[in-house]
Amino acid sequence: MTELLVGTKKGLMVLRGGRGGPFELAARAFPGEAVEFATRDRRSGRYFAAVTHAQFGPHLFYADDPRKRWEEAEGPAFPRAANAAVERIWVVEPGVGDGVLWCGVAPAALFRSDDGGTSWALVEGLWNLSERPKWEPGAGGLCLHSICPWPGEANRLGVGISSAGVWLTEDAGRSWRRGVRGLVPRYLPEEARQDTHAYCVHNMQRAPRQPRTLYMQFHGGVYRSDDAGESWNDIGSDRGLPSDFGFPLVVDPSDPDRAFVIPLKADADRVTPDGSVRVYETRDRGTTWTARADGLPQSAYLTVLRQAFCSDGGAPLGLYFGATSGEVFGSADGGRTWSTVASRLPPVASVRCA
Amino acid sequence: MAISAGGPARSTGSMATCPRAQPDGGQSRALQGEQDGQDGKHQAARQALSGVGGELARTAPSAGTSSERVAAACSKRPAARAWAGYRSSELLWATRAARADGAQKMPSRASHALGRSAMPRMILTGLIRERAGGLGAIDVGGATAGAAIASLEASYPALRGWIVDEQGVLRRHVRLFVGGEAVALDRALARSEELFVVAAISGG
Repeated sequence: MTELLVGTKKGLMVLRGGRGGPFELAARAFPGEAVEFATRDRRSGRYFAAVTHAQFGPHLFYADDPRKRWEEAEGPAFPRAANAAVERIWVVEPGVGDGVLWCGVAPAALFRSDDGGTSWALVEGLWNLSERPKWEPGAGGLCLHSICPWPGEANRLGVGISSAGVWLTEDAGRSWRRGVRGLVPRYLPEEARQDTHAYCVHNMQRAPRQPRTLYMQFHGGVYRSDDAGESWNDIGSDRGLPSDFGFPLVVDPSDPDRAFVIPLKADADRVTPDGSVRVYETRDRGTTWTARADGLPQSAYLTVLRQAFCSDGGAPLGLYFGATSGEVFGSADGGRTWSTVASRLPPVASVRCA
Repeated sequence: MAISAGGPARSTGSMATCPRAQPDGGQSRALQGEQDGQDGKHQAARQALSGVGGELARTAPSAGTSSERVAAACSKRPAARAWAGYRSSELLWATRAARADGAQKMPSRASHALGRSAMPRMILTGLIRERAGGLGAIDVGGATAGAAIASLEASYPALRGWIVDEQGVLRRHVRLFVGGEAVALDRALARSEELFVVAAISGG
C-alpha cells in the first residue's frame, strides 16, 4: 500500500492505493486552506502539514494519523530579536539523530526541532550571516526550500535558497559557507555575474548512498556536485533535455548516478515544453537524459511546482508528481510507464510518499 | 478586499472571560521579547501591545435562557447598531444559535450584553472562534486593541500567531472593528467597548 500526501491549494489530500494500481482519497484535511507542503517522518511515523491560511498566515501542524486530529507545532516562528515573521513554510526534512528535523521557510531561514517536530528554534548562524542583507528574493519569495542532511553525520547539512545560493555547514548550523562555484546565473548580465549573490537555486537533492553527490535544478541549468556542494558541474546543456529550466528534482536514493527532472519551457513560460508532459531520467550522473512519457498526457501544458515530485524509495523505484492542473501521476517502474493517480484535484503544490 | 458580512452577525454564539491563568496578569508571548527590533511596523505593534497587564479576567455571570433576551441584547449593542444592515440576520442567527448551543453559551452572552463586566470584549468569528474553543465573545484585559489581542493570546495559546504574527503585526487580511469602524492595534479600548476580529474574504 502506498500513501501519498498531496498538498493542494484547498487542503491536504491523502491518497492510498497499491503500487501501480488505482488510488483513492483516504482523507482530506485542512479543507479550503493552502497546504503547501506535507510529509511524514518515517522514523516516528509523524505527519506534517505546512498550511498557509489566507487570512491567518502560515502554520505547521502534525498528526500521528492524518485522518484524525492535527496539532499545531510551536513554531516555526522568529524570535523577537530577528524582527521578522514567517511568510511561508516551504519544507520539513527529517535530520540525523533522534527527534531532529529541519524546516525551511520564507524569508530564507532554517529552523531546527529536537523533539520530533513539536517545537522549533531558529538556526541563528544562518539567519545572522553578514551576507544576508544582499540576498534578494525570487518570484516565489526569499525562500529556503531545499534541505540536504548528510546521512550518518548530524552536523553536516546543505541548504538551497532562492535566490541566495547553496549554503553548507559542518557544525550543525553555527557557521556556514557558500557553495556556488560553477553555477552560472545566465539571467544576469555577464559583467554582473562575478560578484552577485543572486543564485536562484530551484531545487537541490543529495544522493544518500553517496553523500558527496548532489543534484540541482537551477533557474536555467541543471547541475551536479561531486564535492558535497562546494562546486557544481553543468549537466543540463546539450545532453537531451528540451529545457534546463524547471523546479522538480528526484534523486534515486539507491543509485547516486540516477536522477529525474521535469523540465518546463522557460522562466517566461512555465509549462511542459511543446505541450508534452515528460519526465527526464539520467542513469549516468547527467551525462545523458532520456524522456519518460509512456502514459503521460500529450497536448497538455502543465506546471509542476518545486515540491510536487517525489519517489517512494522502493525497488523498482516508485515516482509521483502533481500539477497545478490538479492531476497526480505515478509510476511503479522507475518512470518507464506512468498512469494517472488522481485528477481534478485543486492545484497541487506538493507530493510526498508517506 | 471584502469584509465578511457574517462577522458581527455570527459573533454572539458563546462567550467567556479570559481565565486568570498567568501570574503576570495575562501578558502574552508577544510582550516577552528580548529586545525591540528596528522595523517601525513591528515597533508600533509592540507599543500597541504594551498596554496589556494587570487587569484580571472574571468569570461571566450566568443568566436565563430565552432567545428573546438574546435578541434584545444583541439589538442594544452599539456595534450591532453600527452594523444595522446585519441586525435582522444577527437576531435570526442568535435565535438559531441559542437553540443549537444549548442553555450555557448564549445566555451567558446575553447576560454580558445586558449587564456585562467592566472589561473590553473581543468578538471572534470563523476559524479564530474555533481556535478559542468555539467562544464567540471573550472579555479581555488590555488598554488597546493590541493589548487585548495579547491578553487573548495569553489565555488562548492556540491563537498565538493567528490574529497577529510573531512580531505582533496584524495579519494582512485581518481587520479590527470597534463601534463599526476599522481600527489599528494602537486604538485605545474603553472598558465597555467591543473589539471585532474580522477575516477578510480573500484568496482564490
